Amino acid sequence: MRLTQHKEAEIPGLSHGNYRVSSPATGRYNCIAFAADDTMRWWWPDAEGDGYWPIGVAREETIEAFVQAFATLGYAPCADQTHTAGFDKVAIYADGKVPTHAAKQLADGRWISKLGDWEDIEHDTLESLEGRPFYGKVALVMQRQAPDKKNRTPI
Amino acid sequence: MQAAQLEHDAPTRLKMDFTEMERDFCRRKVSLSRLSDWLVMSAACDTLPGWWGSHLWRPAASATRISNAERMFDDLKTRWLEEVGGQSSLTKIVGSRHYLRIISMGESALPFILRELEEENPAPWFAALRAITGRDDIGRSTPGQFRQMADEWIEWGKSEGWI
Repeated sequence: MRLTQHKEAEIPGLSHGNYRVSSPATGRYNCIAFAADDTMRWWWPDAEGDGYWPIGVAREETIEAFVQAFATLGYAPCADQTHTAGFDKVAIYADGKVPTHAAKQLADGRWISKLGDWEDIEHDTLESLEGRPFYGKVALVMQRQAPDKKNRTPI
Repeated sequence: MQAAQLEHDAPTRLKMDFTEMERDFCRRKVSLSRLSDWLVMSAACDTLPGWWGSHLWRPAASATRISNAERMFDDLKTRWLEEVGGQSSLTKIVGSRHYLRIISMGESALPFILRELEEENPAPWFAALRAITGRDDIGRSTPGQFRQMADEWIEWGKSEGWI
């Protein structure tokens, strides 16, 4: 299943064959929440205070603040985006120094993203979502040891 | 004549026009439909004098304004959602010029914003609601949970008679 033409046009790196829609559009959660395994809230450190943001992390739109937010979930910056068995990885995109988007890695090495209030998509590479003025470029990748899913506490 | 002078004189001239129009209508020199057209036009401009302005045509003027406000709101909302679709940044989302124009509509936008909050997954209308109403204490206990935040605003809307 594909996005509408209008949505595909906004993200030129997406083309037929390098992604697929994996769940329907919803405004309940966004890409940061999805990468953090939270599908009940919209994560964002907006000054108005409408978005959820982990307690104790600076409420500012900087890469450092996003690194700290994912650090609360056990992630730490890592060298590359290649899939490593036993590790979860997330990628943070930024337009210049301002974070815009996050994706998380699937078990087969591909990536999955929630596109704002649009759909979730599985995409073959991180680069397919890059480009201005939408998400900019991948700023860094973080990883954590994959938690035991059976004993995992939902956020 | 300077534009400022024209604007200053407009109410007086309209009132004079109205007196003439009313007299001509009473003398059956103008038709009811022509008078109606003139009244609707004047009501839309909020320039009806006396009893006509305060009673007979107020509902019509009000209905016209609501209809115009709704049309403007729907247009701005569509443009806003098109512009910010796919974005995660709430800063970008509520910083859109279309969103700001909705805020500039003031209380006339409130019924339509509150209507939008009934959606299963409402858009982040909360900054607009705070800006318009001056209330900063509603929907603050569950950040990021737009459905719950919307429910609190809907309750407020009911208690204030907006819904």
